[in-house]
Formats: sequence, C-alpha cells, structure tokens
Amino acid sequence: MHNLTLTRRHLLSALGLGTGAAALAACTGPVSASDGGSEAAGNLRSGFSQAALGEIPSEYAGRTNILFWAPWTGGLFEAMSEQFAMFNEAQSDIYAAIESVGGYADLNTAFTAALQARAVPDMVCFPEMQWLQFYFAGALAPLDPHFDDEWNLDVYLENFTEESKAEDQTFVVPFARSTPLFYYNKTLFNDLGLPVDTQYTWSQLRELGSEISSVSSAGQPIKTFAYSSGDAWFANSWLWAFDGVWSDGFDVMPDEEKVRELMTFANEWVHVDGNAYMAQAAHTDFQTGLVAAVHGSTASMRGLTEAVDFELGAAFMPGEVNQPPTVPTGGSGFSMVRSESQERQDATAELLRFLARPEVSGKWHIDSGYVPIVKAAQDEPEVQELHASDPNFTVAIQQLENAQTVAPVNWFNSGTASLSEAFARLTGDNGDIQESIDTLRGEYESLLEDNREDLEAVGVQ
Amino acid sequence: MTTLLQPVRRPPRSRTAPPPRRSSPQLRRRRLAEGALFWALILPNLTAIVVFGYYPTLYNFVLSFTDWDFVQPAPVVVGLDNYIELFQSGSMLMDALRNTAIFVLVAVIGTLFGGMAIGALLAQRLRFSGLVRTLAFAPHMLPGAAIGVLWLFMFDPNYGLSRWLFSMFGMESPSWTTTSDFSLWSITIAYAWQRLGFVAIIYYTAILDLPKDIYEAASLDGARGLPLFRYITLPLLSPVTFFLTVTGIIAAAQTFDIIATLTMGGPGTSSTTLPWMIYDQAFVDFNIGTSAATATVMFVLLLIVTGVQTKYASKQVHYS
Repeated sequence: MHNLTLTRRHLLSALGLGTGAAALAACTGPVSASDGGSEAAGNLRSGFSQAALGEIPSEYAGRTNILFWAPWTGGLFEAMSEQFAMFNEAQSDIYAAIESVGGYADLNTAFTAALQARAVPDMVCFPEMQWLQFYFAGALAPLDPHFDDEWNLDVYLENFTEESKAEDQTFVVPFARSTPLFYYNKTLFNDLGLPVDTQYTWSQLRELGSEISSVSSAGQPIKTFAYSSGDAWFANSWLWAFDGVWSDGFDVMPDEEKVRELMTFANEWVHVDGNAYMAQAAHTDFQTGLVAAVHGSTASMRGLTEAVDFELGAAFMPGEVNQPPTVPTGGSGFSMVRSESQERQDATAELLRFLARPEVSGKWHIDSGYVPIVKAAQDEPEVQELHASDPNFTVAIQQLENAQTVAPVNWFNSGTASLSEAFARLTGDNGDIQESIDTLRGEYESLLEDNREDLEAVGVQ
Repeated sequence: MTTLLQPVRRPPRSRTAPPPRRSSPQLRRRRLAEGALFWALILPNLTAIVVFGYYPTLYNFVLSFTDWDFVQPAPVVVGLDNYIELFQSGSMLMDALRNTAIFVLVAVIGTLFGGMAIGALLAQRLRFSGLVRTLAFAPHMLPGAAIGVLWLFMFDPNYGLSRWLFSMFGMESPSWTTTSDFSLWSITIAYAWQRLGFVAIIYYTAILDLPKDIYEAASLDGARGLPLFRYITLPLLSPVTFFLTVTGIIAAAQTFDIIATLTMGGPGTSSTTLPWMIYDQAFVDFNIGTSAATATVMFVLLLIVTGVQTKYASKQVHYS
C-alpha cells in the first residue's frame, strides 16, 4: 500500500522541478513558486471566472449558480442528473447545473482548456490519482475548511479515502468508486452444470472452455472469455492473481517470471485453445450471448442487469496463485475548483455534503452499480432490499476488502495505455511474449524516470 | 516593304528609363481609394486566415521547442529536445510514417482509379445514373466519426456484414479492427469508401466538360474504346487528376476521426498514423511539446510532398 499523503517537505521538494515531470496520470510538470501553485495557499484564485452555464430554469432564478462538468454519458449521466435535481429541489439558495463533457479523458482535456481560458467549472470529477496533476497546477481548492462533524472523510469507505489528500489537506471526496468484477452467463453455466456463485481461478475457467464451446450462439461456438483493447485496469488484478506486481516503487516488474506466466496464459487461451478472444466490443458480445464471461466495473452492474436476457452472475475477479486476488480501486471522486468566488465554493461544498447523505449515496449505488461509498448508505432500506433481491450487488461490496490502489506506474495515462497495448498485442496479434515484456518494461521505466521527482514527492520509494 | 514571310521587326526598346510621370492629385486620390477598397474587401478573409491558419501553425512551431502539459501556466523552453526525442524514439515514428504512407498511397490511388471508373460510367447517362450519383456522393456528406461507427459494425467478425460475406464462402471473418494484420486496411477501406463518391462526382463532371471536337477528330481517325480513353480522355483529365491527387494526399494524411472510432491507432501501433500519434502524444501522454514537434514534422513532410507534386507532376498536366 502506498502512502499518498504529501508532506510540505515533499511538496516543496517537488516544486523546483524543471521540465518534463509529470504529476500523476498526465505527465504534468509541477508548479514552481512563481506560478499557479503559489496561490495554492489560498482557496481563491483571481481572474478565474465561472465557465458558461446553460439556460437556468426560471424556478431557480436568483440563486447562487454552480457548475459541474460530469465525465459520464447515458444512464450514468441520467442518474447523476437526477441527484442534482433532488439537490435543487431540496433547498432554495443554490442552483447546481450539470453538464456532460463525455468521459474522463474528455473532462481532462476540457478542464485543461478551461484553465487556459480562465473560465472554469466549480466542480470536477477525476479518476483515481488524476486530480494530482491539477493539484500541482494549483487548480483545486482544499475541502477541509468545509468539513464538520457530519460531513468529512470519515463518512466514506476507508479503501477510497487514502487517495484524497496532499500536504495534509483534502482535495477529493470519493463518489463514483468501483472495483472490477467477473460477470458470467449464469443461465448457461447452470445449463452446463458448471459451478456458479464461487471464486473462480483463471486456470479453472480455461478448463471449462471445451464444455462452453459445445454450445452455439448465432451459429458459432460460445467463447469462454472476451479480452478487449483497453484492459489495463483489469490487468492489475490479473497480475496480483498470479502473485506479481507491475511495479514496486521504481522497480518495474521485479518478478518478470510472474508476468511471463500471466502473458503466456492470456496468449495461449486465445491462440492455442481458441476459447478466449480479443473482442471489438466485449460487453456487447456478452449481452448477445456470444461469450460466456467478461469482466467489468461494478458500475457496469446496472447496465448489464437490464441489458441481458439471461440470469447475470457476478463474482470476485478470478484468482490463480492468490485467491481471491487483490483488485484495483477504480472510479472517481469530486474536487472543488479554485476560482474567484468564495460564495460558489461554499455552494459547491453544500452540494458535496448533500451527495454524501446516506440516502443519496444509496440511490446512486442502486441506480449505477458503483459501490455505496458512504458507509451509512449500506444501512439504507432500499439498498438492503436491493441486496436481498439481487445478490450480485452484494458481491461488489464484499470484494471491497480486497481493493487496493494500483502500482504508481499505472497512475499515468501513458502507463495504462502501454499496458493495454501489451495485452492487445498478445491477445489480438499473437505477439511475442518476451518482446511484449521488454517493450512494456522500457516504456514503464522511461515513464517512472521522467516522473521520478514527482513520485518521490508523493511518497513513492 | 516587307513580305508576309518576313517577321515584323519591332524597334528596339529604349534603354533609358522613361521620365517619371507626375501623378495628378486626382490620380493619387483614386489610387488611395482603390487601395483602401482593396484592403477593406480583403481584410475580413485575411484576418480569418491569419488568426485561424497562420497563427496556430506558428504557435505550434513555437510550442515544439517547449515542454508543457497545458495545465501549467506557461511552457518551458527546451530547445531541440523534443525533436531529438522524437527522432530517437525510432520505431514509433517510423511505424507512424510507414502507416501514413501506406494509408495515403492506397487510399489516394484506390479512389483515383475507382472514382474515375465510376465517373466514366456515370457519364454514359445509363438508367438510374442520377440515383447512383446521389448514392455515390452520400458517404462524402457523412461525418468521419459516423462512418467509423458504421464500418465498426460492418467489420464486426461476430455479427457484422463481414461475417455474412465471408461465411458465404465458408470462411471466418477476419478480426479487422483487433488484429495488426488487418487494422490498417480497415481504416483504409473505410476512408476510401468515404472519399470515393466525391472523386467519382468530380471526374463525372470533368468528363462531361471535355471538348467534343477532339473526340470527333479522334473518331474520324478510328480511335475507339480503351485507346480513346488512354490517349485522349486521360490526358484531358490530367488537371483534375492532379487536383484530386494533391488534395487527396493532404486530406488522407490528416485523417483522424475514422481512426479514432475504428481502431484508436491499435492494436499496438499497427494503425497509428501521424495524426493519431500527434493526438496520442498530446492527450494521452500530455507531452504537448513532443506532439507539436511531430505536427511540425508532418507539416514539413506534406509541404515537401506537395512541392514535389507541383514541380514534377504538373509537367504531366495537359490543359486543353
């Protein structure tokens, strides 16, 4: 487990960096005393006004307007919009506007552009450690002044609060947090007499291949498992299952043999057995019955439950040497943007406080499948009712005790891109395993070296 | 007295400069007015070109000598480091250059031949040619992202059109977008399909505009069929071919949306072209300086290619 709490000494050591250093997730050069970070002592930032709001409904006229740029679309955005509507109805002083900017990468780009234009939203939502990039740039306001006995980090699940602080101040409160799960076609498994509601291992799933492929769907033998082109997040769990790590501090793949075993397994499952494959759209194939199992975020739970016409099974991520394996924490948390308005920051804090209410957090869990991030949300009657009627939602919560922040090398966009590409070459292209390891090692080492000082500043040894 | 066979000799030009004419105040005023009118008319367009064309290009060039992630308040000057890093990256740049070259060549040559054939057929004014013209041009009206999504479905080996086509021959559909063997061809096919209609329509209108008297003369000499096309039509179409080649290379080399929706440059770097590499460096790695350096390299390459085309290919152009 990494200690991610920045000390002032660590931070100051990071502030003098020259060029090319990257804060997490996006290769960010840290701030110097003369730029954005110098104002970081305060929560306000002159010259940074509010980004354009859409039309404000007449019933909310005259309130303090705040703006949230949401990194969601579709059902998740609808569920989030509902929470905002509840907030706007629950009080008469603040109007909270929500705008979808696409996904996390889109938000990163949009917020970056907003900082250049000095027209910013009041609230953003970045995945895992990406907020650090903007913290180093002095773009985020600390949340601690707004905390009180009712609303503070203690109300959230501990697994997800360790990633919230820098220099003893809180810059993120967890919200849409998740872990990966193993989803399978329970109807098919039952029909074939295969084990259900159990802790699978990868080898066990591989052995089930011949039985599963004896059944056809749309004129094709059903495959056991679908890999996809962006599996980096899941690959953290794969390697933990094989008892390896992608990096230990600055030491990349300290036990290369474990990596080789994992990569050989994935490659042979696809290109020797032919029972796994590289899918163009894994979840679509799963919903249409072409493949028996996929993995996905807990946030896919609601969508999959409604989309499939068979009984959906959800289990812990498969183990191998380690059962159950450690799984990566995922998803995102809210950050408050430094701007020129104390009034809007106070209003944003009120919104965050509202979203941390147990009943609101519980509703978000029910609507989305993200974990009920507020501890007390698990005691909400609706949540308990859901878990009684659909045990799949309980699986997600039970797996939380195995959740851990990923290795620092996978905090970076480019690191996860390299990892995804490595497996895409193996599963899609039947690429050479040693070559994939060597390529990934080179990219990882270069990445860590480029960002050594920043990583040291956040406690990576 | 000169005969008709002798050239007319003009008196030699005086080597002394003519005396400066004094412009009258009226003339000066008229010239000033004309100048003012000229600038008034050209300024809006010139402003747009400078602000949206030259300034970003120049700014990109400046950024290529800096290290920046867009988030920090200001870029840091690093001299030629980005260019050194780019050329030392070796395989990544070479992969992108090779993929771009293959993509551009196949797409441009394919659409030129295909478009010319379709244009020539349309010019025959056969039945339903109006409908065919409309259908052929329709893909050009669609945004690239939509075409990418459309082809993503068609290429799907499990339930796409590709599966159906290959199963007719008892074969399995290739995994077009998820294997390196086919990923580059998938984006090339999708792009060529988008551009083919545009090229066909341009050729169709050009063929209709060809001078009839040349064809009459050729037919009197007994020219028919392919020789007529080879020795008369092709040379007459050369200005159009030249235009389509130049614009086609530039457009193909800048293709981004189809790649973004079909393959995202993968698997690995198998379908990474220069524009995707630029995007990847900027918005995945957040290396704005390196990205700007790659963009500058691409700009220079396109400039050279266009220059070479203009210098050599234009000699093959015949204007009637």
